[in-house]
Amino acid sequence: MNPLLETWLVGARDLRKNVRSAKGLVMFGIALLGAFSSTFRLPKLEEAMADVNKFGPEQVHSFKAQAFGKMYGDDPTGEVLASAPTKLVVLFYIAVWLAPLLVMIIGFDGISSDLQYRSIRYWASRARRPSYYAGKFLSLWVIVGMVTLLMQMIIWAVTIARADAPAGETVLWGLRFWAASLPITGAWCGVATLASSLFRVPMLSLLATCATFFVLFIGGLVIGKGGDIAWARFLYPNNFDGWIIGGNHERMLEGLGVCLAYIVVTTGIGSAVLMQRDV
Amino acid sequence: MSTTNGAPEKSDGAEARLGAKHDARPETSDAPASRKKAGREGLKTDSSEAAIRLSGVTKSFGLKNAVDNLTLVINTGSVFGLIGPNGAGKTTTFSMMAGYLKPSQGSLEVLGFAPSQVDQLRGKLGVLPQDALLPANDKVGEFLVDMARLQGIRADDATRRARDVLQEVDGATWWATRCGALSHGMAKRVQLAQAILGDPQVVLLDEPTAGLDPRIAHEVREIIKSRKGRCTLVVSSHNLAELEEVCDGAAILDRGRLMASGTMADLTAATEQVRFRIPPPSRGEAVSLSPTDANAPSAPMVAIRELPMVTLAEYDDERGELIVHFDRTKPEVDAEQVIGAVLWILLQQKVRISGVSKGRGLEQRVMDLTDQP
Repeated sequence: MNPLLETWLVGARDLRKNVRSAKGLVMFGIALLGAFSSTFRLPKLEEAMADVNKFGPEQVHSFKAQAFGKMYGDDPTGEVLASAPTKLVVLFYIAVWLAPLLVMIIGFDGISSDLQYRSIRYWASRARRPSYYAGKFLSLWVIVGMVTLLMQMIIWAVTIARADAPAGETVLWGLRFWAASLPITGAWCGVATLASSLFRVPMLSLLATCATFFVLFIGGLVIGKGGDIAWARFLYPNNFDGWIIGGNHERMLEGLGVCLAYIVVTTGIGSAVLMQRDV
Repeated sequence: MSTTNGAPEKSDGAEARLGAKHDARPETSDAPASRKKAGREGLKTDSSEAAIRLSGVTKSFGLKNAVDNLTLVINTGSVFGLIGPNGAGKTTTFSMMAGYLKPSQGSLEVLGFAPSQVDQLRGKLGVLPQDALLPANDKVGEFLVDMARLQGIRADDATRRARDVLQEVDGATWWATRCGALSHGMAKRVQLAQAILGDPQVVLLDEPTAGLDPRIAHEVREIIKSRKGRCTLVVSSHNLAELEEVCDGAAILDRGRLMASGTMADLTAATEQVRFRIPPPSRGEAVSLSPTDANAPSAPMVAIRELPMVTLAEYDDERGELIVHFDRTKPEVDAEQVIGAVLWILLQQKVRISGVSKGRGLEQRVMDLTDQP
């Protein structure tokens, strides 16, 4: 059997399980909570923007470009984002920031619960273990992508309903932001699936995922981005959201490359370990 | 293959094969005879017919060897039992055959492939793991269809095959039931259904009737028996009566080592001895099989020993059991003939008989082999 079909069969079943179980309800709740909490923060943003909006469009654009440039530590990125609906930029920032948390909550028991209850044995005699692993990873990535898309869509609806931006512009920018968040969530999903595959007890897997994310956060954001060790910034996938959404193609490719490397390395290690281990 | 010819042999490096006799203890029969018997039972002994082959397999967990240098060949088309007390290594051996565990040493082949070669074994190997929970949120039908698809069954055929196999385990009405809502007995039958789904060539069943009530256990045994001849079945179980009923042959394990293996008839000596339960004579009954006061054999014993097919007859006072050995090399002599002749003598001598069995019984055999320190 084609490994891709095997992966698809494992992934599709896992997706169905995730959507249908109690976890599915939790995910739906997270999506609503994320979207509405962002929506409730919008009046504050609007208050801040009200003063800015007194100026002419060019000055508003310039102000936004500076603000977003500072936010992402990159002026060209700020310039690009200045053209986007402000609410969507803020949501993108929040969504990327919260991505590790979302991935951790959804993905911590992806493989470890199958190991704990030995359900994996039904698949182990039918599917190659790398296909099983890849299916689990992909289903987690798709689920996280669906949750973030749902969050985005709620914000789009609010933005369009309040006539803050034209519908077409909102949807196009919204899709662009969502697409830009996918490689970053993919990188986190890779790390979470790897951590989940190493432990038989889901609670241990949760703790390990949490600890790993924290180490990556400290290493990549505090030491890498904020400190002097330049290479350490590659430890934190969120550092590359600005590069991916910004207009510079080279940087975008570099950001995508880092996220892809995360996915390939974690999936490779996870598959190799799963192939060797007893289930 | 090593040749033991009934010589005492520990399992270190020993090879055991269904149809041949390689035992940890001296055997009373020779290997060619048992092969002949295996042939009568449809068990093939040609090495090219091996469905499962373990060569010097050891599995260690830390310092402990759960399975120690096990060599075993299970022939195509046989129903083979893995027998032994707790901690004997049955489930570990089973799990290595299924590809769940990797041997620490040695090699293992199923249909000529390593169990980890999933693609080569796709649809050919069905497994009922002992303690693997069904995915609670999956509906039974969806689960079986998913399993069928992964076995390489086409999408348009998977549903039909899944329904058929569910019907076979008497669970047709559970199609839309979530696995988490099934009772233990229902779950076990769904697990059995996924193991036999798609008619695999080799089916491994680990404790298929554990925890089931007698009626459902009987139904499961009937399902297993109905598969006889359609595939190679390996059954691991504590239930010796069940194994004796369904298996053609078995391996007896103890503390990870092979203690004996062969056809069920060989293991129980059913083709070389018959046993009669003779309760001690009650008051007023003069007939006894015990020697007389002058230490001479009793009259019934003399008559039995004079039978031409009988090679040895002994009476065990403690067990109240008469054991009659007969010449199994003569094709015209079989256990039924010996039972008839001995019964005739015992009845004529007015000896009370409370039971008759061929061989010593699997339970007794296992007890003999596994109770040593």
